[in-house]
Amino acid sequence: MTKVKDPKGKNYTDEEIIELYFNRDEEAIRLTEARYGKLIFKVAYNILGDRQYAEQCENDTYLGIWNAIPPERPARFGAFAVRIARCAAISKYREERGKSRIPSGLTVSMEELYGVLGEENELVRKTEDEELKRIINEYVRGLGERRRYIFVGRYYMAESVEEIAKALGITESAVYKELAKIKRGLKKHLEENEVNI
Amino acid sequence: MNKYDKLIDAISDLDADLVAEHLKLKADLNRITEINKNKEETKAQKKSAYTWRRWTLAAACLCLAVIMVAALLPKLWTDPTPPTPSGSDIFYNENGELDENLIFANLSQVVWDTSVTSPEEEKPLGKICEWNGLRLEEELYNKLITAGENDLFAVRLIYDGTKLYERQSAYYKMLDAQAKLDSLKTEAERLEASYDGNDEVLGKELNAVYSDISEMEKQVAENKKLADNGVLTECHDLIRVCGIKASHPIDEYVVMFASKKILNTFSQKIDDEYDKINSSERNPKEGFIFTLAPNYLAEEFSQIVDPPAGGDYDPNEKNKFAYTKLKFYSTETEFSANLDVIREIKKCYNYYDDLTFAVTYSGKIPAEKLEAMKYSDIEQSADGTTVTVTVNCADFDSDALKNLSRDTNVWRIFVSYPEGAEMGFAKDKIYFGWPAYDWDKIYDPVTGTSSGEEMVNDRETILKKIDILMGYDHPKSDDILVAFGVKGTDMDRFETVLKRGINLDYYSMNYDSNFNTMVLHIKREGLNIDEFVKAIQNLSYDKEVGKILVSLPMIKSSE
Repeated sequence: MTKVKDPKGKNYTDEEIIELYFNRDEEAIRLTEARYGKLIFKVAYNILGDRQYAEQCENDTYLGIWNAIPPERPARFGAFAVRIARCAAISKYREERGKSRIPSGLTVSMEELYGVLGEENELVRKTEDEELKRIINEYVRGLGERRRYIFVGRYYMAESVEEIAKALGITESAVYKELAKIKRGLKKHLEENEVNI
Repeated sequence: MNKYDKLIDAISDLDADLVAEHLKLKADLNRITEINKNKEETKAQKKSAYTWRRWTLAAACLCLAVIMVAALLPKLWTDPTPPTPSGSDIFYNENGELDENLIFANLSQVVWDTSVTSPEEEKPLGKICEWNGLRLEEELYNKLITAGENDLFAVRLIYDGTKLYERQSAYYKMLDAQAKLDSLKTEAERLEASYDGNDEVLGKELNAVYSDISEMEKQVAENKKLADNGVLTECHDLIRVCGIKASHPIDEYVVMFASKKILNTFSQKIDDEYDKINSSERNPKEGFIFTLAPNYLAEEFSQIVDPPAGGDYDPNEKNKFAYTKLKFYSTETEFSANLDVIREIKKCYNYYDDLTFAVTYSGKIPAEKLEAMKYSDIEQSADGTTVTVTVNCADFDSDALKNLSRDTNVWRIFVSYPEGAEMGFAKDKIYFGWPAYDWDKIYDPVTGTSSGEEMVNDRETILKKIDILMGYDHPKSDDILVAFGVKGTDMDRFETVLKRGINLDYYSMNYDSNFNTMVLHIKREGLNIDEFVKAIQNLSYDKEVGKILVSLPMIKSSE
């Protein structure tokens, strides 16, 4: 496991950082920033498309983590931090969306999902939030490794197609193709589960 | 909160392990990218050197061309007939650009390249024939029509990569725009339903949606035009649909390996798929330069063939023979090596009569390929997965074997060889013993020998014996004699076999008066022991050779 050093040179694992949160030691925030700061900022920036907002979100994320731990003790600290960052960024996104169209990765990626959800009156029942989460998780788990990477990258991290293509060493066209397949698959999966929101 | 917000929230709640997996993979991929980047840099340096060499070569060619033009100028001056375009030149317009219209117009003159390995080297070939709608150079055509259904060909589809990419991008953009358009129309319908004509805010919102719809319709139309502006936008999908096993999609061409059967399907499916994608009447096959490699690319073939699980053929199944395994060759060289083995075995079969091949396979073994082996006998194992064919040595055809080995259903071929052929010699044939000067007293090729001889059956003992002979500390033991009884009269053949191991300058050969005994007199310095042993070995398998006697150091005739 990778470790992050404090100014005195001591190495900290994720578990030790979490322990610092439990001890209400503010050093925990600095260590979190050292390890996950860039990632948190990037996720926020992908969603908001604005540097200032993203920085604001990054700070909100640290506060969010501080408030959440304790009582939470996340098994995967990185994913936990990213999730808080995403939630903070989406909250900001919704706040700003009413004013104008936000030219961000999230906007584009979610626009890609238009058409995935059925018409509101065409299916038999409303789907509860929890059930929708379960269904989405189930779908993502069923994807192959590459598509799973593309799904999480595009729709969770709001990464650009270019970035995903570069990471996977494939062309953007290939990523678009995969996205189209993912979209079709998701639509089918939602229909099979009679999802209506 | 609209339904897409709910979807955003649901995605936000992805399980942490999925996100953690993504982060880990991302970190790993970054490392790989870094490694690749370093490799690319090295490659770029090499390419730079290569480019320099190319420019040097180009400059040299240019000089040569100037000289040639100068030489030809007077001739051209008197001959006003313009030169006929040849090769891929016919696809280029006056500006030197690849011109789609010219490609289509000149397809009947398309020259097919036989090489799939270097697409830049287009070479003009001969007559063009048509096989199931695919235009092929005559030689390839002949190979294709005579090939078995499962015979594999290397195929190269070349297309204008840039345009194809543009079309593909446009096609996907069109799909996206269409989806957005549908969504906007739904939104407009919803707003229209609640708009009573007085709500100013709603009116503005509706107008904004109408404006978006108009923009999106424009995008759909533009991208559709781009996507349709060509013969085929779904090349890679098409290949997938056709079920071709291996393909290497590159931006400008696709190389794949397909059996004749698949090629046939491919040819037909191109039409079907094209109809689905584009209703234009243009023949989609004309969008490609379709080339086949006349030679199998065995290396790729070996990757395609996935032998079923299981062990090797049991060599004990047939007691009479030991077996050598002819692997599925991965290269032509390897197969040639296997053929050499068979040639050796074939020599041994002068002693026996037949070669026996055990062919293990999955699925259905192609009868026509077995028949091509000209077998004299055939039997199938109880479980139906092995066929044993007996082929007379004289009928053995290496091409037929090669063809059989290339069948995707056939996964192992074993060829039998006489027992002991690799570790020793034919039994009861080789004797070491009496001094050479006595050989005529003790050796009777018809009735056998008297005491004093030692029969030798294995290579080690023979080598040991020869070693003793060569080191024999006798002042006059310069030479050795080999004597053997022969039944036939083809002395040239025996001589040929033996010459392999003996320097011609150092031997002499004599026959007895009845031509049933051959005596070889070999000087020590002319003897390559290993080759000599092999020569004796081969001789021992010759069915027309009786007993072989290798002498002790001879006493020179002058003594």
